[in-house]
Amino acid sequence: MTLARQLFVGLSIIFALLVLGIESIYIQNARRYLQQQLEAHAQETATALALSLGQGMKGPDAALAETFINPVFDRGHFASIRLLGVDGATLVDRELGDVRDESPGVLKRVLSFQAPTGEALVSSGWRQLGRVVVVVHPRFAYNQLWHTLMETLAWLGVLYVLALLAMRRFLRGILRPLEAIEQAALAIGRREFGAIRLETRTRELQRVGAAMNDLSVKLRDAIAEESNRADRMHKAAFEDPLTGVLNRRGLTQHVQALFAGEAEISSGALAFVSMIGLDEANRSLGAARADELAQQLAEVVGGPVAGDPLIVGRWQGGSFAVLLPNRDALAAREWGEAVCGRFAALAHEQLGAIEISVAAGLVHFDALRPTWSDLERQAAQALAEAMQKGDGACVMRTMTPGEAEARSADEWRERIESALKSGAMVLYGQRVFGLPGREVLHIEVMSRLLEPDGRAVAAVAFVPAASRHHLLPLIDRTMLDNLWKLLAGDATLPESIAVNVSAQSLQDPAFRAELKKRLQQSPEVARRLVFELSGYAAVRNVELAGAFAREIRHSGARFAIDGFELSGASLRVVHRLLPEYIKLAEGYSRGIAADDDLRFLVESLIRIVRPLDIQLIASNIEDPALLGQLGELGFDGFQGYAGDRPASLERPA
Amino acid sequence: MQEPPTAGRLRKTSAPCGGAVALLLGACIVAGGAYAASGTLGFSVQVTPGLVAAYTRLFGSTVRERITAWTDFARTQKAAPRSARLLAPAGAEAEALQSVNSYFNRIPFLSDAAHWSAEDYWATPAETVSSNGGDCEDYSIAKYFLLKEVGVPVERLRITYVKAVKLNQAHMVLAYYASPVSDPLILDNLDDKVRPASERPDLVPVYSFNDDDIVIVRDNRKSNPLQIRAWRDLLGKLEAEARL
Repeated sequence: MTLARQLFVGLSIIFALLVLGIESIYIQNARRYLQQQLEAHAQETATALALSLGQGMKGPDAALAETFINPVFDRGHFASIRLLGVDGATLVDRELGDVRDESPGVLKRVLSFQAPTGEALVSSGWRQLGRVVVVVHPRFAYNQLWHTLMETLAWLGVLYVLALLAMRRFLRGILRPLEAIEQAALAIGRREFGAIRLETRTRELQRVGAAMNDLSVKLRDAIAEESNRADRMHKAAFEDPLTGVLNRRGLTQHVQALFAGEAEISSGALAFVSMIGLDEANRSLGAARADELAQQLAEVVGGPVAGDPLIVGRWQGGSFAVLLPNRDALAAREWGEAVCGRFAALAHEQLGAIEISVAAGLVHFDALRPTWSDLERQAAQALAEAMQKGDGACVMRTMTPGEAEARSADEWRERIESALKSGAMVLYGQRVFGLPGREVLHIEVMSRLLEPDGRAVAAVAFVPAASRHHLLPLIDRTMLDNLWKLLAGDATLPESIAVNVSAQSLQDPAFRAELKKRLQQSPEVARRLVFELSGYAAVRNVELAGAFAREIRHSGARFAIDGFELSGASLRVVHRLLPEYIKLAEGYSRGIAADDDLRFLVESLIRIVRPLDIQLIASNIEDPALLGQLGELGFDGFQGYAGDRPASLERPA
Repeated sequence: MQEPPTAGRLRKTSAPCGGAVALLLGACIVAGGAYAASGTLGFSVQVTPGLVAAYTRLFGSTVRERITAWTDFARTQKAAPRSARLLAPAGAEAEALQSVNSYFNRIPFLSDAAHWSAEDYWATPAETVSSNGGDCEDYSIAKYFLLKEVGVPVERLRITYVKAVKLNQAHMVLAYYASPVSDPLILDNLDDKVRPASERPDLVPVYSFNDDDIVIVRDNRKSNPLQIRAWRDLLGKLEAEARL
């Protein structure tokens, strides 16, 4: 119950007691007054009657006495009027029978009046004639009391209601800032460090608000500072200072991280673009001019394009490497030719006589996940070929898949679709452990495709093709179906269960609606689930990811990011989405042993996420020897063969 | 100072009992706090040393002597043979009442205006005795309480508002009814002799009361007290005296 409500209820009760107290005092007073009036009335009537009877009667004359008494009695105020002789004998006796009145019986029982009696001696001259005894009927008093009771109750009731209304308004006014403070506290609970705007003159609340704001600002500043530092470190280690694009190491790291995870890259190309004749230019024009040329080439290759953003790195001197994700062969070739053409035009315009041009070598891949080394080798061969050809040449090769993945995109599609139909898409799970305690943090469930020969193919192999054919929502849905079935029958899974969802699924309204319904129908399951979105998808679809995170949190589930890569953009996404945890892309956690830059970056990242209550988890850890160092660095957990291998969750048939 | 009052002296007073009738017919009947008119209030045996001391300061050194005379008189009345007391057999009461009437009539008449600087003041017996002065109410009150102290049943005694025909003034006397139907005996400061009412054509009775009328006790609680304001004040003063 809120403070305002408690105060309201408490004060209402006190007010009610007060009103009842006032009412009872009032009624008691009225009753006492009426009682006294009745008594006075009885006595006055007796006295007046005695005086007039004494004047009128010369002796005991019952008929005359009754004539005197009747007009008085018939006014109806008296229960009885009697005239007794000196010997006590009754001369006249008038009594009122039962009469109806308006007041309820309970009132008469609770606030009874004593029927007052008045008595007076009747004497004619010195001679005593008897006594007149008057008993007043209290019905008028009861009526009066009853009306007073009702009227005062009505007035007090009106006052009570008005008082309550006024009090509610008052309480609401002075306690309104508490709501703002509560909202701010809840926001801090959600790790949003905003400022509260308090419009209150209540000193305590002002101070609480100011202190909360102060803390929030400090925390926010500290996190922002750390983020900037991480950004700077990232730039220093992974970016080329001259051109502002990634350096060779950055590009390698980045692309490898992408390919290792389940980033939805179904096809694409790696291009090497290199200037021919740069050495000559360097000699004749000077190093500064040569640097300018490199910058210009960087601008040309990094120029705006439609579709997924390019990943551009300076390979060495005058050559650049560019990954073009999710592009078909034609688009890749056109891009290569356009780059060569544009740079040639630029060089011609600026340099005239100096012979300088670029050659481009591309390797295109489709519906498979190439290894970095294959890709790099073949792209280098294509570049060498192009450079041999001469000025502005663009050569493109097509990646030849390895034996194991000897399937075309269409073949993959058939395989996946049939697997989905036949139930060959099965659930695997890999436990994730805490550091340093190695307790189970959660289990990540994943889909694997069962080949007819019994091999279980990991998602990384079929996701490119599935992504290409927009099958990911279907795969995700099948996985959720399988998971729900599993949970219905098996309680041995760890409490917390991580599930991957693809960006394609997020973009699919039907999938989202179905998931929402599912979670709402099984809140106890929802509480156990953490939905992981790849960092690649989160950075490219921040709005969508934010909406999805809100949606599932509303249903009780949690949100996390896996395959996370460090960059300014990804840190902003973390601040925005506030995931439950981050699974750092494999390259980062594996490299920290040897690479100081990486280690500093990871340390910085930990300082950023710790105050936000975001856990950091290292992925693909195979070497148990690394775990000690990860724990010391501040990782909250790890995933990989060093802890657990993915194992089928399907019960043997 | 204790010579019997003379008619001449009485006639000199312009308003022997002014206000008595007005009191009756006005708002004299009030409902208010109930005073116990019972018990021994107003009796000579109630006199305390404190009372004597207080009244000595007020009325002079003769107070003790007068009070002693009053209490002695009451004691002798109580100790007197039955025939001499108010419990005398029917027909013989007049003589018994005579000594009481005479005893108090010896106190000089003083109007309230002269005596108490008040328009209408009902003095307690002790005040009347101590100050050695009183008007018609004071005589009637003092006689009423003394007779009550001696043991006369209260229902026989009625303090009565009368009109003194010869003086054409409101007046007050004490009437003694041997029985409810009998002709009362009148104890009057205007007339030293106790006579039956039938021999007092100079008095026209108007209204009478006693303690019986004033407090009606029912169901063991005081209820419906009719109070003549002056009588209620008097009872208040008696209670105050008892506490002195």
